[in-house]
Amino acid sequence: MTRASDAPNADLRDPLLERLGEGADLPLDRRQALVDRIAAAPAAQPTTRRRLGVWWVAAAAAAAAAVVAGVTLWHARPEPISPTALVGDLLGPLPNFAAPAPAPAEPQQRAAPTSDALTVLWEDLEDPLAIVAQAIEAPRALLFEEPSEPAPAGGPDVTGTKEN
Amino acid sequence: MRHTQLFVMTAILALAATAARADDGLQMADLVPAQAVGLVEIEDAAGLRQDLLESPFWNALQKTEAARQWNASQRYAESQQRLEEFLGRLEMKKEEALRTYLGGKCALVLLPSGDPKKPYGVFLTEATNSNAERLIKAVGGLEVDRHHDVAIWEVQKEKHVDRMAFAGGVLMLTRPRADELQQVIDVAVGSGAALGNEGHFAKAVDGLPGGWRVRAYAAKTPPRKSPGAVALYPQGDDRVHAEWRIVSGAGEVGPNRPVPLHGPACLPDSAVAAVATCFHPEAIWEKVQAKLADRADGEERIRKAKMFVRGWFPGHPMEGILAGFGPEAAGALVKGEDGGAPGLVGMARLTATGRPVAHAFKDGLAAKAMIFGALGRKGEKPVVINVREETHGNASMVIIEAPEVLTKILGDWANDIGLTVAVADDWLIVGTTPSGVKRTIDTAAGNGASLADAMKAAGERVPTEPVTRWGVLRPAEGADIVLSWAEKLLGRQRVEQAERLTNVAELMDLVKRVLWQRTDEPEVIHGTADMQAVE
Repeated sequence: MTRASDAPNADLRDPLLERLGEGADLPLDRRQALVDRIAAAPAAQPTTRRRLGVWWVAAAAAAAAAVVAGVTLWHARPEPISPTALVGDLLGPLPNFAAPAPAPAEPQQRAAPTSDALTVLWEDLEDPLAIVAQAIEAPRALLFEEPSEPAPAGGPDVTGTKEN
Repeated sequence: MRHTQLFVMTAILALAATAARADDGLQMADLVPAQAVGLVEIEDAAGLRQDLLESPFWNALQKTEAARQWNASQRYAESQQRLEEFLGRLEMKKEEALRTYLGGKCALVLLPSGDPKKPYGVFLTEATNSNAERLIKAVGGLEVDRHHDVAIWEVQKEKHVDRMAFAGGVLMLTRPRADELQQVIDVAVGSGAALGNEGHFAKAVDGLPGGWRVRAYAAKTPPRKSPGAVALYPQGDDRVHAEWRIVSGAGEVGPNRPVPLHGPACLPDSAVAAVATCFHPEAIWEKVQAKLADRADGEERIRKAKMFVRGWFPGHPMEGILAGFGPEAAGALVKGEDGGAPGLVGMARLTATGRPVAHAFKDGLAAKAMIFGALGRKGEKPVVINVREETHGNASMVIIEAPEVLTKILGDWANDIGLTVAVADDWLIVGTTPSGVKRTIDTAAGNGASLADAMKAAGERVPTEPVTRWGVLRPAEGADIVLSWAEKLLGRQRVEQAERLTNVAELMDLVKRVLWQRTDEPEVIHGTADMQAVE
């Protein structure tokens, strides 16, 4: 039922009745029901006050959704992947498989006359194998598991350690 | 064991090489700081990896215990998970990602950190700008800095920070501990000296032939502490050729002066490991004297050294002894005949004046053994030493045996073993088994297949030009010897050593052949090696 506050405005009734046309010959009760139904339609439109209310709710809902989405997205942000570990994975398992290279013996440790013959032979391969060992070990320089704290631009003074 | 691991890892790297050739485009050395202590360059690492995974060597390696442990490890599982996550974010299949990011040139540069064991490492890989951005986005990189207007991106992990940059057509990755990334960017943008322009780098790499797939450079090669480089080349799917150049400095050639080597043609084909070398006794003696002369008691030591040497060649002066041998010597580990004991054989080439000197050594050794045997019979536990003379072909031999002493250690091999000295036409030959020495005498006389014949039949090159040294290892054939030792140790209940030897034999079985050659040049040692995997 249409409440009094929702009743159509009086100035709308005449145009309504005019536009009913042949329907104006309807029985009074049916005619009244039809007018009520038509009049009920504008009653469904919100008033200015209700429209403001709806917009406030919508804005609040949108804000809430944004907060929820933000929080959700914050938690769903993918965990960063270490690119250096990926290099190890993609080139691996060589870097992981390789045992640390043996420390090269100091010359004085190999000075025993009995081992001189073997030392001479070993010298042929010692240098290239040392280079290969460094190459195999090299990926470890990317994979040190220790806290890293990048130095500011310029970094520590490494000029004194220049090898050549 | 460490050396075995190193050898296996070298073989793994080497055998993965394929036939692609390095082009003359982007040169990683031009992007690397001049102060780098090491540089490892790889051409098409993706292809290298694929070839490795498809190689029979890799399949064989997967059956080893070490591989099983790695595949079952937590670290392996984590790496697989990380890769899958990364590929998902890239929206690429693994092969595509590998081709995109490791299909060109890549390099790992080592920069000095003050701790030689922990150099700074920066990985460089050829990439387009868009692919670099795609990777940086996929790993969650955040721009944190700029250097020379090059953006620096960062990924923070619990225990470390990764940083990335793109410049000069190269994506750079590092776990910075200092300003290593900035050092590389400096060179990439032309603001720093490049390793590629350094003379010591050029001296090490310029003589290496093109076409390498992996080239490793070290600014200080231990123990020489001079620059050197090793390059790996393809030789089909199961062979690889390696070449290296080590900067030696002037004046070191003397005792290592290259000569044409005859040893490979004189050693028998039953050798599982062998080496032939230049042998310049006078140059060696000069070097020894120079070394001893630096000591306070140098004169006395030189006098005693001369007396010691002359004692092995009774009746000959030092000058005659030095002039009697050279310019070549050789040695080998030979398989035993019909399951018999393996033997060591050493041989020194005789000069025109060398035969009487060699005979003096042989006869003097026989006399010493006889004296020792006579003394040994008088103790509570008498030691029986048999000394006998034989001739074999044109060679005269002395054989010294003590089977009773050796039986406890070597079992039935003891009967095969005897210190044997032979003077043949051109060689003084010393061996631990009479059969090994006899076979060497035959081979040197042209009767029977030689090691050189076996190598040529296998498609390997035996040098005819002067070289300093040439050697061959045939690990797969030597594995039987190691296993035989393991059995004998098991018999003596030294299980742990036996197991270790068995593991070594397992690894040896994966490599068929390794040949190497060294040629000393005035300022550089040039080496080559060829490896053949199991077929």
